[in-house]
Amino acid sequence: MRTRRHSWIASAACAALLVAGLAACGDSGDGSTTSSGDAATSGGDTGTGTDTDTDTSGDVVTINWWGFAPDVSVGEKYVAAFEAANPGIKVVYKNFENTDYAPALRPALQSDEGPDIYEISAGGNVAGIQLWADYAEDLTATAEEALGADWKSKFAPGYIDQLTWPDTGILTALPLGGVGAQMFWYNKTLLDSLGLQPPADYDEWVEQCKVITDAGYTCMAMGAGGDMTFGTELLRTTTSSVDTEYWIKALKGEASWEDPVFYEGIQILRNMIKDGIIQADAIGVQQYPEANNTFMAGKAAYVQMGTWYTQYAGREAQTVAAQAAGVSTPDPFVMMPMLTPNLGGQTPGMVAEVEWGFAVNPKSKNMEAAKKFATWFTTTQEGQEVILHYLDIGLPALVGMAPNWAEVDLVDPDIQIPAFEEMYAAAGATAETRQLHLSQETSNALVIAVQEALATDKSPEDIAAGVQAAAVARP
Amino acid sequence: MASTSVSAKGRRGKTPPGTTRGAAEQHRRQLKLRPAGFGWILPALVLSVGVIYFCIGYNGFLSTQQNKGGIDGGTFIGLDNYRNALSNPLFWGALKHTLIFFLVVSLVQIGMGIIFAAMLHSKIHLAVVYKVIIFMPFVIAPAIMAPVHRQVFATEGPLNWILTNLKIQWLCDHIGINWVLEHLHLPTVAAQSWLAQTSTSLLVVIGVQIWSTIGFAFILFYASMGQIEPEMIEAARIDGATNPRILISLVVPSVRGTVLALLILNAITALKLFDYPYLMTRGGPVYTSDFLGTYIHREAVTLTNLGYAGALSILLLILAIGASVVMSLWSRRGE
Repeated sequence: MRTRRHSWIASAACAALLVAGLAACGDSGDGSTTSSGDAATSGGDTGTGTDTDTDTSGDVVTINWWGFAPDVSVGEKYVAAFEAANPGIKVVYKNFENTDYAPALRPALQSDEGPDIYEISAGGNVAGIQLWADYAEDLTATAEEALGADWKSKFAPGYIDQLTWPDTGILTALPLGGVGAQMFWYNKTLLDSLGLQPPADYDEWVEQCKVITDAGYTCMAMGAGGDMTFGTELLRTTTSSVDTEYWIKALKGEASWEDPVFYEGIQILRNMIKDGIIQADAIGVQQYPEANNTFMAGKAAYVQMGTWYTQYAGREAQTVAAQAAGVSTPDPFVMMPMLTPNLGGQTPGMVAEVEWGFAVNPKSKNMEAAKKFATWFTTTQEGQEVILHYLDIGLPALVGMAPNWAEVDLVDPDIQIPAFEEMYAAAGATAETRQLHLSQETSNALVIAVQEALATDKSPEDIAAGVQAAAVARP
Repeated sequence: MASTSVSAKGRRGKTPPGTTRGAAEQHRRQLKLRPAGFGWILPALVLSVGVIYFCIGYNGFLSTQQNKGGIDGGTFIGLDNYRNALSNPLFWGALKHTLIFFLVVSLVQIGMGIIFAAMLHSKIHLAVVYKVIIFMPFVIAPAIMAPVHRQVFATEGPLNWILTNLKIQWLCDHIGINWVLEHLHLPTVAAQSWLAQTSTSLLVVIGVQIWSTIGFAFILFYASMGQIEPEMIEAARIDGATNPRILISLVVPSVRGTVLALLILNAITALKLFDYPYLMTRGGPVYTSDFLGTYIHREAVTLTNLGYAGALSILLLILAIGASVVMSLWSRRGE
């Protein structure tokens, strides 16, 4: 009998341990991560950032920053600059691929173990404000404290409104800077070697691509496979080449997707792959890393990317990117921006909006340090200079700032700097936003529309009908 | 269960000391109701109920909601998610791909597995090396092999290089294989963008799955064939049976149990397939290599339609249980 009772006790104890273990997995309690002195454990530089949000070691506070941008190499430089200027705060940066960011962030923010700092952008299905507004600390008072009563006027026009959630009126994030898109980049070194100049129109581009592919290169690197939305930017460009005002109206619900303008935009996109401008297997690869690697390795003449690509124009950053693309001893090439040529009768300008901002998790146990991190980069001249130096974001958040080109080790500064200044001027001058009116549903429908245009014989009318059925307007 | 239902009295042959006869009888009845080994399975039971069954139950609850994963939770909408799923062509498309996958993988895997096993049961040189080569793909994780296969099937990849430079495409054109494939509306043997075409993406996923699991089928058949009495084969030979005849009439019926086991495993694999399609094609292009696993993942993770994804998961569970029951009944009828 004793043996039997002992076995019951043992099994009950095991069961209790399991229950306790499961409970521990589910919730660690709201105060359990607080630690102090030498009892603190460190998450270190592994970037996991989930094991210790409140990690104090002496006077040092550790905060975790999760983001989809910038690249790790640039992010580490941001962190190093911040830590040098703010001793006592240690930052662990964890970078995610675009498609992994939201799936990782949602459960983290719903738990008590999420990051202290994360990123919110104006729209889209990665960091769009509509996805994360419920999980953001209101930073209005923080911005006012940092910049004074007229704080709004010190930011570039529109940026604060784009990061303010209209339903609640809270400022979800402080902007780091702006982003411009609907443009291309080209490998000038490659074009020069083939005796080519950037094309002025569609026909010229097709002729040029024959020369480029005959020489063994890809004309335009593009990845439209998977869930990434970069391919939709080219569909927007081709559609805007027909009517420059149509796209935003369609996003807002003011125009139907079942419209001849959209049909023609789809057809131009389809022609681009048939005529050899876009790489033949664009649907089978993704923009990151594959298409990006193709361009960075010097194997493609063109790529459609935005102002964030300026970061690779510097020798060091381009060398790192080329090595990541598999080139053992890269020889940096001259990267140049190109505004959209005439593809369908019009030459659409750039689109631009706030790139992304630093949001603070309301559950952060290091609220002061997190706010310090967010405000240092976004409201101080010193922080903005760091951001602009690495050119991941070339459009400053604060009025009156600009990249210091003398500090950037460009491959051919004499021709690159004027081109970059022209590009930023075009981005700063445009009133058309990039993702502000893009809902998650519309974004997904457009991803499928691009795949249908490039990989099927479905008519543009049928493709557009599919978008119209799935899209959700975001006025 | 019956073997463990032994009461304390039954085991010791007398009532516990210090009890009246009525109380002892009641105690005996209680012990009879409680299996003797129940205590030992309690931890596993807690784990199962706590993790698996709770999650299934929670999924069921979630499936009745419109839930975008926000702080406010979801809204009860009854069975609307199930109605939407059953009327959605993407659900039926994923199910169609699952069925095609199951049929093709099972057919090729079982056929090739039997052939390989029969070949290696004959006296051939370097048999151990062949066994390792055939079995090796099965032990390599899909996460490792998927990027390799993406390279293999890339437009500039080694497969297209082989088809072009070793004149395989030329040969298939000239002996009419490609003509037949074209008329059957099947992909031809030619250099092409395998992962970028709606006509080939599913084929690639199926091919990779066959490549990675054929070693498992081979090992099962090899072991199963080892159980066949050599005298039976000898008797067949004396009766004049050829090798193919022995394989078809003697070996294959003898490994019927293994075939059934593989069919059940393939059915379950097809229903819960996620790794290769997600890692290689993400279910695309245009959902042409989409399976229930990738569909559920997209709805739950990418689009955060948690309620709808919950309904899809419950439908998947029902299908899996249904497939298991059908296979089990079929198996019993065969016995």
